[in-house]
Amino acid sequence: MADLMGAPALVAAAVRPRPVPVEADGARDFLRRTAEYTAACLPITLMEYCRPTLWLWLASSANPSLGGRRAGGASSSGRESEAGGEDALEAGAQSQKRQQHLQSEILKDLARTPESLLVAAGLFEGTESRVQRATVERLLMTFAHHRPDVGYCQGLNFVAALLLCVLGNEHSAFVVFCGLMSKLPEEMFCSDPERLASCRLALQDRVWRALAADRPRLAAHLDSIGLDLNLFLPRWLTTVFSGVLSVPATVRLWDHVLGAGGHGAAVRLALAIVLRAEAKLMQCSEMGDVVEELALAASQVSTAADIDRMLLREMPPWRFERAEERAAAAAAGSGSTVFIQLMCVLASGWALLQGVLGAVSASRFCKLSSRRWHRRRSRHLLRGWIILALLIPLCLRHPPRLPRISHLAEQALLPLDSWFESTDLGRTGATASTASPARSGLQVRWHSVVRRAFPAFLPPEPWPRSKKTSSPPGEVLCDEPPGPKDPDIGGPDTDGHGGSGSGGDGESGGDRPGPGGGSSGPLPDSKAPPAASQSQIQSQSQSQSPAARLNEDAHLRAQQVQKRSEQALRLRSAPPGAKPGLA
Amino acid sequence: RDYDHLFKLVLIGDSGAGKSCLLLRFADDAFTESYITTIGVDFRFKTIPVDKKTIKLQIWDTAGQERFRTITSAYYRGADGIILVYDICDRESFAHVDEWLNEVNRYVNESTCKILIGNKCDMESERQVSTEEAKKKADDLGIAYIECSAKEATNVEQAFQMMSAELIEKRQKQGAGGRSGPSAGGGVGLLQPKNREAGKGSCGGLGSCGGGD
Repeated sequence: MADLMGAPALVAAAVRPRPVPVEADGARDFLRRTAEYTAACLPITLMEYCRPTLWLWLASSANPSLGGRRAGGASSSGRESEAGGEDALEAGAQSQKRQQHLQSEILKDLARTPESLLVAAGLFEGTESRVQRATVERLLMTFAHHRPDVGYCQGLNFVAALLLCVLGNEHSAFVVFCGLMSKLPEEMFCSDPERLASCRLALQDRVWRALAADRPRLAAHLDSIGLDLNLFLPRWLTTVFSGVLSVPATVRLWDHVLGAGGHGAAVRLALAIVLRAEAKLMQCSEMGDVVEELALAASQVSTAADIDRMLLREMPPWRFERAEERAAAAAAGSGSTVFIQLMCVLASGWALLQGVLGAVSASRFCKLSSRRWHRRRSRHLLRGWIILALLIPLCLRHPPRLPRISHLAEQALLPLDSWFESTDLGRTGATASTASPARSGLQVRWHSVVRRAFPAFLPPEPWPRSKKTSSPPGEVLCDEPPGPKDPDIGGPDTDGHGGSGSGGDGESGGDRPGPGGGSSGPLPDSKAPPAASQSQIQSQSQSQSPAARLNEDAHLRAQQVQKRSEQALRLRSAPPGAKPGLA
Repeated sequence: RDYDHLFKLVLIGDSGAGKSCLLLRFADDAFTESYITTIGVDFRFKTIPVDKKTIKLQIWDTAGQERFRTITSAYYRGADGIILVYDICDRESFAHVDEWLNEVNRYVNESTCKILIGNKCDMESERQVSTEEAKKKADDLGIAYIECSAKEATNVEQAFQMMSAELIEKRQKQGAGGRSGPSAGGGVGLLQPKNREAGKGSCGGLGSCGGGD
């Protein structure tokens, strides 16, 4: 039980005032932006090492209320308790009743928080799970105290539980929680039913319109079924996908949400998941099937690399913006925009052609001396210039949406990232087999180097898998994180390093093209995974199962099962300390 | 079409009353202790035989927290039946029954079937609301009452059977009234939004009028 008096103290500790000169605001802003882009751009493997720090930094700088207090330098505990005191004077027993109600609500939902989120990082292995639930409760109570307009909203229990697991430290978890909340639309969680409903409706509308603009056929089909977005969208968006995706994937998404992507990243991911399932959705004729397919598609997003691919390739910000813009244009009834843009494209192509023709006719391939060629060249160039001159005002009126530099930078970093994951250097070393089948040599080496250099900095173990996905026990065994670990190295006071080692789990499998068949990635994957890592991919249940489902080849599947069970047997002997949650 | 009637039911009630568990028990005949919070809505289809007729039930399960009231209200607007669930081990959830019913009555017409379910009747030792008290309240409100347990599957099927039987009866009555002409049914449908707009006070009178048709 969290005593109510403890809550303000926790807030005070979390927002410990630090002297920040006011004039440093510009620099702070610059740093914040840099950090935001860093969170989205940094290769996943590197991100594992600095995630807690970066998150904390992002959250505290993005959250105006926490930042303001900090900048003010006043003792926030005093303010908190003052506010509490006034409240008590004004409302007295009523506020106490409200608090009790709040607490009972939170307690009810804590019992209904998935176990996978509570034991996810295994940081609290030595302790009872009850202690952990009490921590989550404390965090939620504190937040309700901090933001009385929100209080406690169902769904936040998932977020709080996972955050505590990832960061392992209550204070930083609270700050990051507030930071995450400040990135999401304010009214999505508010306690006023009307405002909450209108906000969520607007959000659904936004998703639906973007979908309709991007995939009109799919949208029409779903509309004919009568799909209700409430069946899955709130589950995805209010929990920011915690408990929907696997833990490493969720955490990677949060990098984006806390970073430059903001709430839009979550919305884009939702769209990307729908698009991935497009082929299957088109075959569904019942709402229940659609919801099931979507849940399946969401559960198949299992690795951090998958998230990056979906957010930066399949549904990059500019594509989403363009879809939204088109939707807005369609809603406004100006169907001519599409026509104009098409004309722009055609005209610019024509202008380019004329320029090329002009250049060719000017080149030494043609007889320069010939007056005929000369005339033709000037004619071409003139035409090109005229068309360009016509084009410019058009473009000014309907600016073509091009990918921004930052997006391009993110995209450029993607291959680097996947190289980092799939790299197979030094895999021949025996280290790989002892650590994890999915962990490639470079990563192992990296891990050991960092561990030697900063023993306190490194987490005791890489990410475990979420146990949500329905996979046969044999596969679960394969997914087990590597064995060498001691349970109580990451006690409750490991100051926020829990969230690192997403290890190699499944990341080598991440190079596989999207499972949905209808994946919309503009580029197919540029490189195939190296042959040596093929066997690793076999061990990845999540990446394997969709392929198997697509094949429908019973023989092949039987072979895979056999191979998998062999690997499972091999693995079973390998890890000395298996995770209790997975058993 | 492999059914005679299709009814849309909505489960409402306080958070933690066991709505999702009831639905899971009824639709899949399963129970799990580790149920997770319902976020948004959920729905299931279930086909059951009632009086030699095949009834297809579309059951919507809603989130119980108070702030989702407006979202939930969209679901019972078009519902044929409302299943109001409370937890017999939780006095507060019973106290909120009135509020829920008021909320429902704002949107649905009086002819909508309603039933009150006291869930978790297997936990007799922790009971806070007696059967008599609940029964009295249900009588006062003029709705049916049944106690059931999703965990032990007591009365869950019966509750839905009860509801379906009542709905069939109502629909047949309506059908008998509307047999004179297809427009009559439409007429009733058109009347209902009007009397909703006319105000809560007159709702009862007009509603009974529609039932008598």
